[in-house]
Amino acid sequence: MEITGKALILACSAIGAGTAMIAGIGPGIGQGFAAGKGAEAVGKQPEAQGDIIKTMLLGAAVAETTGIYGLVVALILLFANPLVGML
Amino acid sequence: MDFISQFINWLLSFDKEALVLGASAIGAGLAMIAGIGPGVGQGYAAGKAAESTGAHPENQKTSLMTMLVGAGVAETTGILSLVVALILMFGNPMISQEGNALAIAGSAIGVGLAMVAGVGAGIGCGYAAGKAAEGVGIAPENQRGSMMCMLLGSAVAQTTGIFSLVIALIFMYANPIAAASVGASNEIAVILGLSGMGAGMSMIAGLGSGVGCGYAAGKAAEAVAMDPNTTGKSIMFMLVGSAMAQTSAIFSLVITLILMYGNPFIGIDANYLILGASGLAAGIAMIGGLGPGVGQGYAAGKAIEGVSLNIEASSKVMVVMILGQAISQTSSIFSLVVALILMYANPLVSMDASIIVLAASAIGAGTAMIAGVGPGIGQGFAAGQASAATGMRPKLQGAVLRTMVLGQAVAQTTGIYGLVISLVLLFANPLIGML
Repeated sequence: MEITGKALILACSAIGAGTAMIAGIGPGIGQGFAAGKGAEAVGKQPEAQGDIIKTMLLGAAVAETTGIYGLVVALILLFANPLVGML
Repeated sequence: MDFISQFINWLLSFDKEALVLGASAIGAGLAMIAGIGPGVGQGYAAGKAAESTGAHPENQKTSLMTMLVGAGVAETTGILSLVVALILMFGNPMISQEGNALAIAGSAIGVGLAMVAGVGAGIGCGYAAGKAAEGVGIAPENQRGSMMCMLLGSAVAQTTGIFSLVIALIFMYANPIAAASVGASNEIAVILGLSGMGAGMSMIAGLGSGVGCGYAAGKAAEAVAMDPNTTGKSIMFMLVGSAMAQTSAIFSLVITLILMYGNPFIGIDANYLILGASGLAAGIAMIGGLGPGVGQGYAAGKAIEGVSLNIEASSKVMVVMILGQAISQTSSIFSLVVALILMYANPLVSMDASIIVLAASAIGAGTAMIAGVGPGIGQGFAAGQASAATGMRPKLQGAVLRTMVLGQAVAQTTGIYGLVISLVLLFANPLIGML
């Protein structure tokens, strides 16, 4: 089986893209915690629901960023792989 | 010919650039794992701020602002990792390094592994942000002091992320492993490449200190928000406790730097696979230090809680905290000892047996030391609860200490099991006789 240098880089890129997505663990846990705390707070203070949801969503958006970074790196490796061009 | 030599020859059949770029792709992916940390931490902060908004809607702005500042700090290691991944993909400096492709490829994977440590600071700083947001929600007038504690503690928690960044930058722009491989044989390059991966692995232990120091920062921010009179004592406990929690990360940094700049395996007359595996194993062993980092930081945080409730008890709490932290250091010292044995007194290299068994025994000996994570966290938890209990009832310090030490001794057992297996694999390996 003949494997070219380009094929090796692409294969490694597939592994790298998959590995980068492990980052998704974090936002998942964190935003879940935020959702739980938000629900708990609304249960106690239903009249503050609007403010609570706003705070929760804003914080959850911040928590999303690193998941998006991982996604961006994976998408670059998959769809705009700069490494094969360097060969 | 065995499959490992075949695999290495297969790798060497590629152009150097292809090998280095392939490894860089994996390294870029590994680096992004750090994103777990800010995700968890900022989510915690968001939750605490939402909770605080429910309880004290009138202080929403103060709480939200504090949360966002803290979450911004917690983002740091995620961005550092993103930058490292982007450099590897778009401005890869490693393809132009002089040296053997195997050594440089190992270094590229080491870059990614080292950056994983950023998980810790992300979680820790996010916890601090959440606690500060909760505290200022209750007492907005103490926002300044609370935020100061949060930022100071978060800066300490960032240390290990910065250590990792420095190691990654050295690998990318002034790679000593590539330099050592110039003109060397492929066998030497395998040792260097595996040692480079080991150097990156070792840095992962910094994850623990990031979490731990962030916990201490959060507890200090909370204490100061509740009672500004405790500011001095809180900061003192936070800094002393965090310094202890940095110890295992420093051990790891030392092992990493030795593997990079003073590789002890070069020049030893033994099979290169056993030597390379030992280099990788030394790095794996150091991951055990992750536990003490988390545990000691927890102890520092609970000690702050204890002192803030009863400031007169501070010297008694300090004794309990430091003693408990010292005991929870045990696992990372075990890890350090095994790593040093692998590097400087490795009995496997002089044994006459199947190379694959000896090389795999080295990897097994390193992996067994990861068990130290558990005792490190558990003993730190015990130290923390004991510190808080001493703060509440200083008269019972003696009884609390005795209970803590007894419980910590029990918690050490699994770490000792790991050490025993590791030492058996190294010094009294029963597998070799079975061949």
